[in-house]
Amino acid sequence: MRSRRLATVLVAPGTAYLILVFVSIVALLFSYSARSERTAALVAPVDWATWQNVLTDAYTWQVLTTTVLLGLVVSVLTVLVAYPLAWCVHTMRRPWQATTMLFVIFSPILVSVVVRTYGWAMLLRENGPFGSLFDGWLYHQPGVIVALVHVELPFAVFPILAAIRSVPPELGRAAADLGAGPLRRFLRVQLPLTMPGVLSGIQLVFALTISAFATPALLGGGRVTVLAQTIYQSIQQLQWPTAAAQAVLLLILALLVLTLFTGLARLVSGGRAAR
Amino acid sequence: MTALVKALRWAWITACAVFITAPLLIVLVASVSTDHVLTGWPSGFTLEWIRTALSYEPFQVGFLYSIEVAALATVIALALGVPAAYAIARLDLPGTGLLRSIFVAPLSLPRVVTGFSFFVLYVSLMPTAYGTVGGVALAHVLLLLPFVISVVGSGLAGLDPQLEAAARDLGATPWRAFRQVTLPQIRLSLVIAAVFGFLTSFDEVDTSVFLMPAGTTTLPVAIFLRLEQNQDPTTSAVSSLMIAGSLLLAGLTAVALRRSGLFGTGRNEQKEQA
Repeated sequence: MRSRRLATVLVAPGTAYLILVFVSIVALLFSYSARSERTAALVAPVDWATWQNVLTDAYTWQVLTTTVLLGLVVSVLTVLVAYPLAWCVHTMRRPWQATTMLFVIFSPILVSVVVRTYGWAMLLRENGPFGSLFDGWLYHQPGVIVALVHVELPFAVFPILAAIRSVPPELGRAAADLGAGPLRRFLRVQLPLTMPGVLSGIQLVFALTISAFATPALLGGGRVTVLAQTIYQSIQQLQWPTAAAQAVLLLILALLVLTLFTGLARLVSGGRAAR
Repeated sequence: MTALVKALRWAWITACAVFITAPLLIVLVASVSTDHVLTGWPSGFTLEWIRTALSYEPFQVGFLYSIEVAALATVIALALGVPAAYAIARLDLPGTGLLRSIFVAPLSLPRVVTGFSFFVLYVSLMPTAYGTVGGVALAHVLLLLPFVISVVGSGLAGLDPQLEAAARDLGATPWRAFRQVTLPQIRLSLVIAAVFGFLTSFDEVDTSVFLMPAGTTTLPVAIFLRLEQNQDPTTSAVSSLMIAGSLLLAGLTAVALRRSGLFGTGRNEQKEQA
């Protein structure tokens, strides 16, 4: 009994902070998006005009489409780079090689996204170090995509590497003994067993990409606009209610993605258990 | 066949290593190059840009601001997170699953939404918190808490609870048993959580950009706002200082941990996190 009281005391401050923040976030977002004038008052008369404007504006839907498409393209590309990379690291014989490669892969997490984005701006610039190779990439979709793949790559390698490590090597050997070729072994043994890792990689990258702000803002050149940027732009134009509505949309999108992938992960692991 | 696989393997590893390091390397090279715009290998080297960046006032102010915010946010996140992680892992508590998901929930919250929400919170309830170290740090705590909880939680999960129970049986108070038995064993997790938390807060842009006026900002936000306008060697210089600083801090931590022998005992712990 004493232990339970102690536990409550230890957990209470953090939980109180989080619940307070969550409740005020939800309450304030809805309160601010359901008013039409910019006031800092805690409560204002409910007015759905802002929501009507945001939802009927073609720009909102265009931005929403760009955001989701960017998330899809970046998460698929990132996993396509990350899976072979994780496999290469896993199969490295000498420990120091694997340690060095892991350091190379994960150290960019420690460097600010702004700095990494700036690096891409310099690499992709016309008449930059690569001459005209990347002409038309910077301030267009391809530049944003490349930089985002770079930013999110470690987050895909992490779960995929963990999944590859958890596959017992005997399984591959057993399949080979039974006469399965390399491709068949990969498609029928390795890939299904590492699918949960691939899925959580895609989920993580997708979630991070749809809420990415600094990279599309600096490399999009006004041509590539995602939901996160519109919130910032609305604030700068002092349209707080619009910004609140856009924030609610982004939040709903993030939660939808979370639910979708949780269901998908359950389906994948459930399907494996049933087989 | 195996030779081909081997060649492909090394080609992929090399390509990935170049892809990952190129944007950092070009910033480092540009910051010491005499060329205003880098078009190839620099024609000469200079420390002028670094000197300009070091004496540029918005960067100086921003650096101190970022340090203060990151230190405060890390301290608060550890103070709230470590006791909670301990209680969830060790003590008899109902609804541990729910608690754990509450503590990692902020991860699913887009950072921009966090930033906007705290902005609205401050303008409507606490106008004085807008643009202050405390106000920004309190928002950053939300980003750091999930990380503190999972790192310290997995550190605790790798330990034997019987050790602390034995200390209690020998007459130690709960606090003493924790401090002398459990705390030394989770030192590695605590250091990792603190260093990573500090850097996360120091580098943060998406949330911070909503919480401060354009005049006085943290260092990454200052760089962001400058990059929105133009690119110049001074920005490269301050960026390369940030790269060097982050890697140096991480490297020093790794060396310090190895010196203290924590890496040896912490191996299992690390593997579990991976």
